[in-house]
This record gives sequence, C-alpha cells and structure tokens, in this order.
Amino acid sequence: MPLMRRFSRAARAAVLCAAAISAADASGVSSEPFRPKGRYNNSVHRFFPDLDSRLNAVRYGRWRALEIAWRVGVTPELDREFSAFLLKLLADPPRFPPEAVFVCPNFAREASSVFHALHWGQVFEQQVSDILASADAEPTVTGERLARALEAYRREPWALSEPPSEAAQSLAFQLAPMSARILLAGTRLFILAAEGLAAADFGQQRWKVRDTIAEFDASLARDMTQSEATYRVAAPIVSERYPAIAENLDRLARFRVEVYGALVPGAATPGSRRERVALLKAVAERYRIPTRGIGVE
Amino acid sequence: MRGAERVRLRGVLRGVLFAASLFVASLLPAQILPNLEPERPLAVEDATPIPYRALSAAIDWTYNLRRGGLNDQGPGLSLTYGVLRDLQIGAAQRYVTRPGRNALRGISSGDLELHALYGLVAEGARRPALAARIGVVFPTGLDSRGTDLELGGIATRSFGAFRVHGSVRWTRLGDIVPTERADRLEGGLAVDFLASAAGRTDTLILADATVRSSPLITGNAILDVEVGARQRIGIQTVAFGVIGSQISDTPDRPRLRLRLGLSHFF
Repeated sequence: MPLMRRFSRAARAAVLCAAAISAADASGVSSEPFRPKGRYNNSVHRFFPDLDSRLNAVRYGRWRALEIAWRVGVTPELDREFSAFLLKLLADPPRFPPEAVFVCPNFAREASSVFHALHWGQVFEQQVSDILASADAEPTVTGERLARALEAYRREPWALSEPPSEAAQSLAFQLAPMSARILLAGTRLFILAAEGLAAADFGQQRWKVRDTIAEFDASLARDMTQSEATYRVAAPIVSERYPAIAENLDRLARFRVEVYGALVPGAATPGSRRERVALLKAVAERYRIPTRGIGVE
Repeated sequence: MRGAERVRLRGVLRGVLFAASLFVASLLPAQILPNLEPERPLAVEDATPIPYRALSAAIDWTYNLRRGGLNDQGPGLSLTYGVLRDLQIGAAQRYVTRPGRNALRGISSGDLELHALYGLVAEGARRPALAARIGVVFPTGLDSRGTDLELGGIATRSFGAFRVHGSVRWTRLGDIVPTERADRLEGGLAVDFLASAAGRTDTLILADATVRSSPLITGNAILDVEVGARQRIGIQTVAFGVIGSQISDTPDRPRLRLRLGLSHFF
C-alpha cells in the first residue's frame, strides 16, 4: 500500500509536469534550430582553412565587442580592450567558430532576442559562404541552395526585416574608432570572400581567396567608410546574381552597427542601463524582431 | 499521515507552477562544446536540450579499476536528437565486462536507456535554465529484470563563462530482489569553464560530485567525484575524457574510473 501511494503521487507529479510543459509549449516561443543541413556545410573550413580561421577571428571579435560594450558601453576602454583582443587573436587565428554563449555570456542572457538575431544571422552568413565554396558549386545548384538557405533564415523570428528608415550615423564609430575600423574590415572580409568565391570556379577560387586574405590583412590599418563594407558596393557579382542574399546580409551588417550604437550609454548607472535597454528595444522594433528578453525581466 | 502527504503534494504543485510561471522566451542557441550529455563525460548534464534537428552520436570506452583485480571495462554508445524545439530524445547503452558483479551495483550490461529532456525555461539575467527529464531503462542487458523509470530535473546557471549545473533524479526500479532498493535518488552538482584565458571556446574543463542511493537496502549513499574535459577537435566533433573515483561504497568500488570518447554532431 505505501508503494501504491508513492506511485500515485509520482503519477500526479508527472501529470502536473506534463501540464506545465504543455502550457510552456503553448506560448509559441521557440528556440534557434540547428543550422540547415547540406553537403556544402563546412566547405570554407575544409577547402580554405586560412580564410576560415580569419573569418572565425572576426566572429570572435564581433561577439567580444558586444560583451565589452554591454559591460562598459562604447568607450575608449572598449576600443583598447577589443582591439588588443582581436589583434592578438589574428596573430594565431582560431580553427573553429566561437561558441557565442561563452564569448558574450552576459549579452546572451540579458539581451537574448538581439543575441539570437545576430547569431542566426551568423549561421546564415556561414551558410552562404559554404554554399559558394562548395566543390560542386555551379550557378544553378548554388542559386537553389542559396534560395533554400534564405528561406530557412527567413522562417525564424530572428530574421531581420527592412527597417522603415535609414538610421543616423552611429556614435559608436566616433567613440571607438579603432574597433569600428577592425569590425568594418571584418565585415568586408566576409563580403570579399563571398565575391571571390562567387566570381571564380572551384579551381580558381584558391587565388581569389589568397587575394582576399592579403587585402584583409592590409586593411586593418586603414580607414574605411561604412559603404565599403556592403555587398552593394564591394560585391557586385553577388549583388547581381543573388540580390536577395546581398540585401539580407547588408541588412544584418547595418543591424550590427545599430546594436553597437545602442550600447553606447553603457551600464554605469541605472539611468544609462535603462537608456541602453530602450535604445536596443527600438533597434529590435525597427528590424521587427521580438523585443522580449531585452533587459532584466 | 494523509495531511503530511497533502502538504508534500502541495509543495510539488507549487514547484511545478513556479517552474511554469518562470517560462518566458525559451531562447537556446545552437551549441556544440557546451552541450553536456550524461556520461559525456560527466554524470551531470546541462539544462539545455540539443538544438532542434541536431543529431549527436557519441561513443566512449570506460575502464574501472577496482581492488582485487576485479577491474572491468567496456564501450558506451549514445544517440541524441533534437526532435522538437527545446525537446531532445535520446538512447544510450553501456556494456561492461562483468555484468553480474555490476548488476549488484545497479549497472547492468547492455540495458537500453531512452530519455526525453525538455527545456522548461532558458537562462535569463536572474534565473537559471531549467529542464525536466524523463527516462526509461529497458532490461535488454544481462542480469536485468524489470523496466525502470527515471524522473529528474536539471538547472544550469552561468556566471560569465563559468557554469554551474545541478540535477536531481528519482529512479523507480520495476523489479527487485528482496535486498535491493526500489526507489533510488541521485543528486549532482557540476561546474564547467573555458580552459583558455584568452577566451577561446575550444576546451571546456568540467568537474562534478554526485550522491546517490546505494542499490542495496542496507548500503550507504554512494559519493562519486569526476574531473574531465571536452575538447573540440573538428568543426562538429568533440573529444572528451574524464577521470573519477567512487569515494564511498563497498571495498570493491571503482577506485579510479577513466573514460575517453568522441561525440559528433550531424
């Protein structure tokens, strides 16, 4: 009898758990899926490890910049800390992409929807590079694969929509010029890599990639305008062949710049934290991603 | 007695409602290195299910050093799949070379364990990630009898890039011999952190301590401690290893446990 009683209690607890789980599921909020599957996945890593390691360094840098900005705001301190981090990383670039939750844990927890928009965008950007670098890439197959990758990207709530108006020039560029320059060079690296991969066949891609890497290594020291780091300007072939892809990736780059701009106030005082959350929510609303999960709830 | 039980049930109900009320956006990023599955390498897992549509396969080899030349060893296999968003299902099997002896310690060789892990709530600024786990162990192995049921809960909280995991599990054995305990409890606490001071996310160091009921009615609680690492060796492949010891139990307990394995994401 005592056993029976215990069983019945466990059964009741299990029913309650099931009810809680169903209630949670009914909220309709979902997590990020694993990246779409395809034979092209990891092509850049496999065929162009030197390019991939630099792309990884840029990915690390982007997340790291967010975490520092979330902690201290966009300040000269960020500029120093970030540029030192990234230049050290580039001296021995990482083989694998970063686990973003470990690189910017506080931003991931406290601004989760923006974090996911950026992370899901990174997954999409990586898919595009892999599709273009695939050994069996040819215009028809590549076009179909890119269309599927774009469709998978657009299906998620983290996909960015075109904002109604252009944003004003971000203050972040003036407050942290060195970091801004490195981040723009990083964005341009992705663009030039895609352009090189799209413009050449598999046999010729190796040379294009070498040029892209050389250009990136030299560009870290030079000033660059924001428009130079857009597909529209720097990747005419990708823009012409795959306009929807170029448009979405340019939007992602603009979103990233606006997010850095929203982090300018920092977290020094409750007032600045509130301002930061309000700015970040405004950016999320402009790009029509969920605003839930931004700021402490 | 009935009153006390009602109070206990009310406690359970309150706990479940609390967990449900905590549920807000369940936002879990795709992850490879931080995804902790049970025994890959630690006994304690994390509260984040594998991402939707991800499939993870793992294989390992475990060697237990015991006093008196009673060492045993064997492979372990597992498959985990993100069947829905925030819901993973998995299957695991472990073989040992001394199934008869291990069965007395609650480790049968070749039993099939199926489980589901549901992420109730993602980690937020002020709350840990919470997950509920249900498992069934089918007696497909040697020296096995009834089907066992497992119910558990897992919490994960991170502090910067340092994470703490806590888990509790209740196991109900379907068929027992008179000296065996039918209801077993297990609790564990684990920590993990990045090995790289520069912030690279390729190596994770982990440690845990677990306490569980002895399989024997007259036995004392069993304490295990483990220290291990997960190292990314491919873009979707992780190698893991652990060294552990059973601190308390009978004299022929594993004084030293070594496990090495690989897990791959598809």
